[in-house]
Amino acid sequence: MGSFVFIYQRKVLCTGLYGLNRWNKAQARFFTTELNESESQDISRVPNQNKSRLLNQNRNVLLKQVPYSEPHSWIHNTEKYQRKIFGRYGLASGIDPRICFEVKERSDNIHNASEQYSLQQLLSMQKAKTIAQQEAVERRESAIAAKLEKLEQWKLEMRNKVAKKEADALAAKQNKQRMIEEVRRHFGFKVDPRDERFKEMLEQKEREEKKRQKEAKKKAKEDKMMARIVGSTSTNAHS
Amino acid sequence: MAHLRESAEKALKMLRTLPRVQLSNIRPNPNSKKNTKRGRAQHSGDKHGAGNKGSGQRQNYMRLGYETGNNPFYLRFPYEPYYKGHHLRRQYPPISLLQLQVLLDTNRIDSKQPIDITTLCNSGLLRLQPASMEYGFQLTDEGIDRFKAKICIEVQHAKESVIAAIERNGGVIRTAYYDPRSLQAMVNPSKWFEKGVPIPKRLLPPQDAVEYYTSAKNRGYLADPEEISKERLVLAQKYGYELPRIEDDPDYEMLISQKDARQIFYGLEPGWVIGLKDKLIIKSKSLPEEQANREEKS
Repeated sequence: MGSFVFIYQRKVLCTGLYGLNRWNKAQARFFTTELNESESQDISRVPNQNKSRLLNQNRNVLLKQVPYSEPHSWIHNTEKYQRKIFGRYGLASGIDPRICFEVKERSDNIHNASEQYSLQQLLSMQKAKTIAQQEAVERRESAIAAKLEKLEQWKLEMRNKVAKKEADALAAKQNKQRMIEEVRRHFGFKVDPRDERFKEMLEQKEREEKKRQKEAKKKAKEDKMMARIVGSTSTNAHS
Repeated sequence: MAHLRESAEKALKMLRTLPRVQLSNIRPNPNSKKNTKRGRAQHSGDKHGAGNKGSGQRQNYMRLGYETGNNPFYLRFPYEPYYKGHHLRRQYPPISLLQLQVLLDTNRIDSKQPIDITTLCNSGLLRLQPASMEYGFQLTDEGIDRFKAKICIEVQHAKESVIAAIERNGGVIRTAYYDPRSLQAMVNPSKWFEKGVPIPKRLLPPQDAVEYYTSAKNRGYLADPEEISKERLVLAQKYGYELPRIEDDPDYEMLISQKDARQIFYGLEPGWVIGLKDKLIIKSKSLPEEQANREEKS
């Protein structure tokens, strides 16, 4: 690639005066040419070489030369601009190529910002991540398997529950039907269920039914109690 | 005193690069007068600077996102979680083996040189836009039966069948990651060199790509070379072809030329500045490699 190799070192100390060095050099060159010309002929008589009517800087760009010989804007003093000028126009631009290299501390900062982890760290992190994902999947699968084992049992329970509910509803309906039938039998003729008498009778019947149930319950309780008392006395007698 | 002079020079240098003080970058002095009175009559009476008609005058601005009774934009579309982060995902524009074969046959690409992103972009027929999240090329298997070239190629993604097709012809393939900054340099090197900036150092792949580029099966550039040669044999057995011996190949040097994991251009190292005009390579003495060389000499 390169016909020969330049080696420069960039130090912070010597970065300060790039622009000045360069422009001074340019001015010096200008000064010497002026001297030579004043020796030979009057400047005002020299014909203008630039007939293109282009601005000097634009003409320079056209001729692939450095557009400005002096800084015309603060931008021309920035490192970025001077690097670009060196990159484009080479050593002829008069810019010290040391400016192309970044100051060490700044480049270190850039490096740190973009690369937090080493390759080994990245690999181990990725491994940990994949393992965690796999574990989560396995956990979910095992949970599903455990639930599937119980599925048949749960299905049976559900069916029994539904069947019981239906049976209860049917029994209640039949009971009610029976009561209505009884009321009708009491009156001896067909009574409209919406009739007041019918309703009263039905209520009475229901009350009776409830009473009977209550008594039956009470009796059962007493029987139970008695059985216990008898049992305890018999055991006492034994002892 | 040296440090004082140094800091003074630093300050001066900074001053030189700062813009001039002008109306657009100054603000009122602290505690400067601020008029709190609302003018009457001719002294800024009339509308008091609030403008004529509408929200401006009445100072009753609508809440953010409200569209005066329209179905607001932020509520208009249903939730689409499968697009989450799609703007951050890496893209790999495809090139097919057929396309590659055509490029080689029409001498757009020299098969005697290793092929990478720069070669492909320099063909003038393929484009890569690193700024649009394009992270390099993927080689697809279209035209796989008609691919006959022996090449050394570096792409960013390739299928197993594509790897087999290239190795069957006695070629070499590597998959490599480049960060967007490096890609920008690779896509148009002359433009990069004209910036007068050192060649950047290639960064490591992001965490989710590390696994791919360290795997020998994918011929990743971070994989162990011995593992890769083993995987070459495995793939040859799987696809049922005899693996050509690249050691006996006349182009052996070209075929095994690999970039360093930090390198971007063949033959050029990160940290070098390239002067295209004068055909120069400019190196810094502070580069670690140069320091080592100097120590050897002394």
